[in-house]
Amino acid sequence: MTFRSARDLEEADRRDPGLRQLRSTWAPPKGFARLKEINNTFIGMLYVLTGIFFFVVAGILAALIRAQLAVPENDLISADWYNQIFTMHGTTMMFLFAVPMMEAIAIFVIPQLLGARDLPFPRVSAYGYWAYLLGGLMVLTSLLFKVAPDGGWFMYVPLTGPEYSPGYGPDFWLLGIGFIEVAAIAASIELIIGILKFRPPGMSMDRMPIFAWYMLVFGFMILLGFPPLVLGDILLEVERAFDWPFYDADRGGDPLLWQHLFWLFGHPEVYIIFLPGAGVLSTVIPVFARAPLAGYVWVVLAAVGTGFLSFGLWVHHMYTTGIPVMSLSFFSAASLAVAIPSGIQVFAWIATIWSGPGVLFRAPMLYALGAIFIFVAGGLTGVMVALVPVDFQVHDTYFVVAHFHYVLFGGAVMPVFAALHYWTPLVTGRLMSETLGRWSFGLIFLGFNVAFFPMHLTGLRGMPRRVYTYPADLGWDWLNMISSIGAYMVAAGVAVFLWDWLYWHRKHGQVAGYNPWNAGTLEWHSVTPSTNFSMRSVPIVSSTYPLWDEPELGDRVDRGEFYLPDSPDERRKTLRTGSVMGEPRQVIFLPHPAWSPIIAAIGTATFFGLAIFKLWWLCAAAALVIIIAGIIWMWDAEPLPAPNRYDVGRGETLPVHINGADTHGFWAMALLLIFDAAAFVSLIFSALFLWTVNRDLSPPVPEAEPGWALAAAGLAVLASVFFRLGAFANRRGSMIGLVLGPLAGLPAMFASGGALMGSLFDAGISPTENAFSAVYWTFAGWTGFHIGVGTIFIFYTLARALAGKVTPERRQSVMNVELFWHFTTGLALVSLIMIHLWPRVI
Amino acid sequence: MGWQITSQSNPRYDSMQGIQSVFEPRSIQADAILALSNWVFAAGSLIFVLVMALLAWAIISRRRHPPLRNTVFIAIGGFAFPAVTLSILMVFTVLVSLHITSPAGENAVRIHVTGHMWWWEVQYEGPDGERIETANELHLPIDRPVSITVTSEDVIHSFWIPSLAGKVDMIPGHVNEITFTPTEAGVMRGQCAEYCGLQHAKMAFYVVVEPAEQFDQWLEEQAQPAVEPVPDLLKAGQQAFVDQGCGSCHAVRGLPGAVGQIGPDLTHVGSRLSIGAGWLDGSVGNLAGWIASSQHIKPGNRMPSFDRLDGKTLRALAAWLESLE
Amino acid sequence: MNVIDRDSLVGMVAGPLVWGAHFLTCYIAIAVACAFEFETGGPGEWGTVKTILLAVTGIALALIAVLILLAWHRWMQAGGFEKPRDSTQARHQFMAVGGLLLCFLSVVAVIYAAVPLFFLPACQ
Repeated sequence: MTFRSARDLEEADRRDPGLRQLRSTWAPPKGFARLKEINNTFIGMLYVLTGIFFFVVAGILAALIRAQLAVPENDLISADWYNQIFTMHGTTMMFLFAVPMMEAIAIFVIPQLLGARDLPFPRVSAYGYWAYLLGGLMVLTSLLFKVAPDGGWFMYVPLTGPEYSPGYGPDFWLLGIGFIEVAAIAASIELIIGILKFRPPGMSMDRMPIFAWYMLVFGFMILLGFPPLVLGDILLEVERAFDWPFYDADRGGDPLLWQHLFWLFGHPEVYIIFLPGAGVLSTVIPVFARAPLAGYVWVVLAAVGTGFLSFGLWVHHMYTTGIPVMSLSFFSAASLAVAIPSGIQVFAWIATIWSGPGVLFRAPMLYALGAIFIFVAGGLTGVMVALVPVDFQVHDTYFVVAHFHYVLFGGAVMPVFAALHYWTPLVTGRLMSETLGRWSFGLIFLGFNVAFFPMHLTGLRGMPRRVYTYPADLGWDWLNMISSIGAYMVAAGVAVFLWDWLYWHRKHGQVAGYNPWNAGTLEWHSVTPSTNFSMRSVPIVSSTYPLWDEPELGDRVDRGEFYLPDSPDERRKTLRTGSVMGEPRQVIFLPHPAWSPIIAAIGTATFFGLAIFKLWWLCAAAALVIIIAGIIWMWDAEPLPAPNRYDVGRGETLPVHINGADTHGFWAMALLLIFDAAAFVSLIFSALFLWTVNRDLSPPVPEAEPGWALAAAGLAVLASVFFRLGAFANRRGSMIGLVLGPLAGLPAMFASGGALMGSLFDAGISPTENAFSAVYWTFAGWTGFHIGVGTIFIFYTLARALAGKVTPERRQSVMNVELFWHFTTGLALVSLIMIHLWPRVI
Repeated sequence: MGWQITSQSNPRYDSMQGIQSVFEPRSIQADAILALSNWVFAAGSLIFVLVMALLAWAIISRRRHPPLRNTVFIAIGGFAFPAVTLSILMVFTVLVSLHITSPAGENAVRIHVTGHMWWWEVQYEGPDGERIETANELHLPIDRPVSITVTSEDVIHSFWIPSLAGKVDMIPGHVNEITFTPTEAGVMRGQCAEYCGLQHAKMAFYVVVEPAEQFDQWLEEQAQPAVEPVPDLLKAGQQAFVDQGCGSCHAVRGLPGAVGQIGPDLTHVGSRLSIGAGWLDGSVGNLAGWIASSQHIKPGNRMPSFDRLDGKTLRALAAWLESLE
Repeated sequence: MNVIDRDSLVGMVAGPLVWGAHFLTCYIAIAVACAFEFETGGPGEWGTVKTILLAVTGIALALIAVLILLAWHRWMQAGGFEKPRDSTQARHQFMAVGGLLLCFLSVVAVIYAAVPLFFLPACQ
C-alpha cells in the first residue's frame, strides 16, 4: 500500500481503522467553530496568509513612497502623510511581515519536517497568531485615521516622546508592536522546544534538517534579542503616560538610552530575519541541485556563529552619535567578523550546487539563486557600512537604504518566495505555475536591482533618508526616477505571484501528488496536501535526508509501521524524544481545539487597544478576561491516565505524564524566565548607562531607614523557603503542607514587595523627579508585577490542589510555579541591590 | 498670490550638481574617506564578480564536486579568505578612523551649531572668544582646521556636509564635535541627516569655503550690528518688522526690541545664500515669498504666513531684510 | 537533571561565549573609563585600561586555545577524519567539529576586536 494520490488515501481510509482514527481525531471543527482549531497546519496557513497580507500592505506604502520621490519637489503626498507612510512601511515590513512570516513558515513546516504531529503548545501558537493578527490590524488602523506613528520605525526619542509627539501615533506603535512581540516570544519558545524535544526517534542533532538548526538559533535570538526592545517600549510608554523621565535629557535621562535598547534588539533582529531565509536556501538548494548540503557542520557553525556575533553589532547603527572611536571600532570588528559565517554559507551553497548532477531551474531554485546574488551584493556593501569612516558618510543616506534592502531582499524576501513556491503544495496539493513563477521571479529580480542599485549612488551623491522631497538639480533626479520604475516592476512581479498563489495554481496547477520535488526531508514523505497530523506514524530516522537514503520510508510511515500509528482513544498526541540523541521518552497528550486561546488574544488586544487611550479601568477588565481565559486554558494541564503508560506501537510503551526539569512545560517556564531575565538585565544596563552619561547627576542614595530594605530582602528569602517547603510537602504527599507553604509565603512576598516600595516612599523618592528615581521605581514595579502574577499562579495551583489535580505523581505545575517564585525572589534581591547598594558603592 | 514659490531656483552658484556629494571631497578628511570607500568598493566588486563566477561555474560544471574537496573549498573560500581579507581591512580602517578623528588643534576655527526644528543656529567664536551669532550658513577658511561642536535644542538632528566630513549627530543633552580641514574653495550644501520630524527634508544649509582673508573679513562683518536703513523704502521695511512683532522671534542686533530667540538671527540675513534653511535662494523676491507664505513653502515650521500684509509693506520688509548684508 | 547535555551543546558554544565575554569587557571598560575620564591613553600609548584590555585579550585567546585542544581531543576520540561507524560516533564527531569551528571563528572575532587597542586613543 503506497499513497501516490489523494484517492489512495481515501481508499486506505476505508480499509484501515488506525488511519480512520487518526483522521477523525485530528479533524478540524466544522463551520464557525473552525476558528477554535489550534493545529499547526491550520494556524500556520493562516499565519502565512496574514504575513503576505501585511507584506502587500507595506508594499503598497512603498509604492506610494516611490511615487512621491520619482520627481523632485513633488507635491503628490504631503510631508505629514509621507512621514506616516515611511514609518508604517518600515514598521509593517519588519514587525508584521519579516519576523512573523518566518515564524509562520516554521510553525507550518517544522512539525512536518520533524515528524511531529504538532508543536509542543498548539494553543500558544494559536494565541500567538490571533495576537499577531489583531495587533497588526490595530497598528494599521491608525493609518486609516491619519494618526499613524510618524517617528520612523526606529522611533527615536525625543521626537517620539511626550513633548514632540503628543498625539496617539507613538502609542499605537509602542503598544501595538509590544503586543506583537508577545506573539514572537510565543513562537520562539514553541520552536525551541519543538526542535529540541519533538523530533522523531533517531534524529540526533547531527541529523536534524538544516532548517531546524536555523530555526533553533532563530528562537534563541528572539528570546534574547527582543527583551531590550520590550523594555525600551515599556520605558517610553511609561514616560509618555506618566512622565517618568528615562529619556529626558533635562532630568538626567538620555535619548541615547533608547537607541542602545532599540539596536540591542534591532541588530540581532536583522539576523533574526536573515537566518530563516538562509535556512530556506540551505533547504531548497540541495533539492534542486540534487545533492546533500555540502559542509553540513560548517553551515550549522555559521548559523550558530551568526547568532552570537549578531549581538555585538548594535552600536554600528550609532557610529555618528559621538561615542569614542575606540568603542566604535569594537563594533566594527564584530561587524566584519559576522561576514565570515555568511561567506561560509555562500560557499557551502556553491559547493552543494557543484556536487549535484546539474541544477533543476524550477521556480524555488530561481528565487534561491536570485537570493544569493542579491545577498552577496548586500553583504559586501555591509562590509562597507561596517567601516567607521565610510559609515560616517553613508549613514542615514540612500546608500544604507540600498544596502539593507539588498540584505533583506536577498536574505529574507526572495527566500520567502522560494519557500512559498516550494512548500505551497503541502497546503493545496498542487504545484504553482512554472511559467508564472518565471515571470514573477524575472520581474522581482530585475525590478529590485533597477530600484535599489541606483540608490547606492543616490546616497553617495548626498541624498539623506526619510526626506519627503528633495530639490532638483542636486544630481538625484534621474536616479530617483529609475528607482521608482524598478519599484513598480517589483510590484508587478508580486502581483503575478499573488495571482498564481491565491488563485491560478489552485484551479489549474499540476497536481503535486507524492514528493513532487523529489526532496529528501520528511514533510514530503506522503501524498500532498499533507494531513493535519502530518505523519500516519512517527518514523525512526537514520539520516539527514531520510527520503533519499531510504526510498521506502514514506510507504512504511503510511502503512503505520512506526510509532503512534492509530488513535483508539481519539486523543491528539505526539512523541517526545531526547534533545541530543532523539530517543523516545514520552507520549505527549496534546490539547484539542478550544476557544480559550482566541478569547485570551481578544482580551489581550482589547487591553493594549484601551491602553493606547489610557482607559486604565477598562484595561483592568480586559486583563481579567485574559486571566480567566488563561485559567480555563490551563485547567486540564498535566493529563495523567491510569496506568501512566501508553502503547506507542512496535511493542513499546512510554509514560504519558512525567515530572521534572526534562518536561516541555518546565522548559517553557524556564525559557520564559530567560526572556524575562534578559529584559531585567536590560533594565540594569539602562541604570548603568545613565550613570556613565550623567556628569552632573549621580544616582541618588535613597535615605531610607535601613530596616525597610533589610526587611524586604529577608521576607523575600523567607517566602522562597515557604514555597520550597510547600513543594516539598506536596512531593511527600502532604496536602496540608502544599496549601500552607504558599499561603505562608504569599504574605511574606507581599510584605517584601511592600517594604521595597516602602523604602522608596520613606526616602521621598518620586519617579518623576529624575531618570534614576524613575529607574528605581521601575525596579520596584518589575518586582511588584511578578508578585502579582505569581499570586494568580498560587491561587490557580491551590484551586487545582483542591480539585485533586495536584498529587505527588502530578506535581509539574507546582514545580513550574515554584521556579517562578524563586525567580521573583531573585528579582526582589537584585532590585534591592540596585536601589540601595549600588548608589552607595559608586 | 504673486509671491508664491513653486520651484527652487539656484543660489548664487554656477551649478547645483555635486555640491552635496561624497564624490566631490574638499577636505583632508572627506578625501581620506572617499579613498577608503573607493578601495573597498573596488575590492568588493571584484569579490562579487568572483563569487558569481564561481556560482556560474558550479552550475555549468558537470564534475559533481568543487575544484577542491567540499570542506576544503568551504574552509578556504568561506573562512580563510574572508578572515584574512577582513583583518587587513580592519587595520586599514582603524588607521583611517584615527586620521579623520584627530583633534583640530589650537588655531582651529571654532564654531557651535545648534539644531532646531528645522534650522541651524550658528555661533562663531570670535578672535577674543566672543560669540558671533548667525544662522543656516557657514563660512570657512581654506587650509585651516575647523572644529564644530554640535548639540540640539529639541529633537535629534545630524550635521552633515558630504564634501567636507562625515556626519555627527546633534543630540539634546550631548555636545559632539567634528573636525576637518577644508582644502578647496567653493560653495557646498549640507543637510540634516537624522530624521527630525515633519520638515526634516527641508533642513539644509550652505557652506562657503573661501581664502583666509575673505573669511576674516566676513567674520568681522558678521560681528557688526545691523546697518541703519537710509532710503524711505528700507525705513518703511524696518518699521514693518517692528510693527508686525517679528522681533519677538528673530534677533536683529542693533534694532531695539528685536531679540527673539525662536527663529534664526537675521542681523545679516541679506548676506546669506539661502532662506528657509537652505531651501530657497536668498533673493528679495524669495524673502517676500517666504514672509507671505512660509506655511505653504515649509508647512509646519514655526513661522506663520504673514499673508495679511499688503504688497507694498511686504516689498518694503523684504527689501530691508535683503539690505542687511 | 539533564537540561542540555553539558558535554555537548554547551561545550559546542563555549568559544563564542568567550568571545562575548571579551567583547563586553572591552566595550564596558572603555565606556566607563572614558565617562569618568580616568584614561587618556593616546594613539599607540599603553594607558591602564588599554593594557588591561590587552591582557584580557590574551586570557580570552588562551581560554579559546584550551577549548580548541579539548574539542580536538574529543574529535580525535571520535575518530577524527575517519568515516563514522555508527550514529553515536557520527554525533560525537559532529559535536566536536562544530565546537572546534566555532572556536576558530571566535579566535578571529577576538583578534579583530583587539586591533583598535594598538592604534587608537582610548577616548576621543
